Amino acid sequence: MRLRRAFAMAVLALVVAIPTLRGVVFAHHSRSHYGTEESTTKGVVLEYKWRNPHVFVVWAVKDQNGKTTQWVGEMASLTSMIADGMTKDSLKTGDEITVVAFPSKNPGSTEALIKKITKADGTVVVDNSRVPNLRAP
Amino acid sequence: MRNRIVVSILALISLALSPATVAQDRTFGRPTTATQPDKDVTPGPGWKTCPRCTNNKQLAAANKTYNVEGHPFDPHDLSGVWGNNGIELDVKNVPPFTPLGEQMFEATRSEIPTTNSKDGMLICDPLGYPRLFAYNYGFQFVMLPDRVLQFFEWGHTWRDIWTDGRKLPDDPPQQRWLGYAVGRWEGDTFVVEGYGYDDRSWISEDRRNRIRGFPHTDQMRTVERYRRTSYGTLEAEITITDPKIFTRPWITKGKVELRPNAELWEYFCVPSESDDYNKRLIDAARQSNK
Repeated sequence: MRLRRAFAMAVLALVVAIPTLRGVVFAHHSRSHYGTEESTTKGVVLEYKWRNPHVFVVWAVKDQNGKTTQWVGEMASLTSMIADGMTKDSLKTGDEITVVAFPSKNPGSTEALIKKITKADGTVVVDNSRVPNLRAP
Repeated sequence: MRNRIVVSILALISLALSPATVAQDRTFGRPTTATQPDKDVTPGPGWKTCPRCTNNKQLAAANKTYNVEGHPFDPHDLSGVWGNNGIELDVKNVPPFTPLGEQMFEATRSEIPTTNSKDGMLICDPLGYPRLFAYNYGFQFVMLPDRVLQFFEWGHTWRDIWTDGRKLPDDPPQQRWLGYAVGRWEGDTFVVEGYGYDDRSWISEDRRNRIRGFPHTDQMRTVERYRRTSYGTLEAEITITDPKIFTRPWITKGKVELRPNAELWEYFCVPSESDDYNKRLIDAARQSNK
């Protein structure tokens, strides 16, 4: 009986604790508007901003009908991305890339939080597979 | 047996919830991923990497290279580059607000749910103190005969902690974003008192949901306690009091790890860069969440 009560307390404590602890890992710029569903797109780099507060890349994706959509995907601060293996030369305009990202929850939006970028030759530019810590700065 | 299980469960829960655990996790390295380099990224021979450029693999290697474990140290010498992030304030123990505090806290509420639109950081206002205690990308102490300099990578700025015996001003002629700071030794603990803060800064953003910030008035005082418990570890504690905002002091305890392979690089919040980022990523969220 006491054991059951302790187990119930543990579950209750975790229910309370998990959202609190999750909140702790968020960056100074919130990423809560990004969804949790992954999306994979292939496209061509239009811009690569090796800048703070967050490094970002803009890429163009052409659909089956030839319509082009421009995506913008953010990562973390410049020095955080150095720790993850990126450099100022990781991407250049015209590079063909495959991007795994978490798009914004807003329907029709073309902003995303980037998880992984792979070049056409198979080179992995960055793999932010530190989920669930992905949203840390 | 049952008692032992109950005790173990409760111990695990208290460990998971303890502020020290959370604070410590934040200052240590990032989770390892496949693309992270093994070797430090530096500007060239003789130069060092930066605190935040260092991943776990590199930090573990650096600790061996610099013989951090068991290295002799002087507890009154806090010199070095510490942490890569700051020590988050203990948001699980925010003191109850006064009626004015509640009102000022509510006034910081964001206009949008996705990020805090009223956060001065978005337009590169100085973070101020103690927000730089909680968020700094790494800091460096430099010990001088009459003061301790504390440099912060975020904002590429510093504060003077005067140790020449002067007292804090009662009524300073200018409120400062980083306040006025004096330090003294109590045994092996370096105690820093601060006052005279500009009330335009926030104590910190509210990391529980990021839709508010913790405000303060010009009556806010801070007391920090730093204790070097080993060559590679600095214990840090901050007590924030503001009788106009909080009904009791707000205490945060944490640890910061030495970054022996690092020197501070440059992180300026550049208005033109932030403006570009805000327009292309923050404003999009702003538009679609109204």
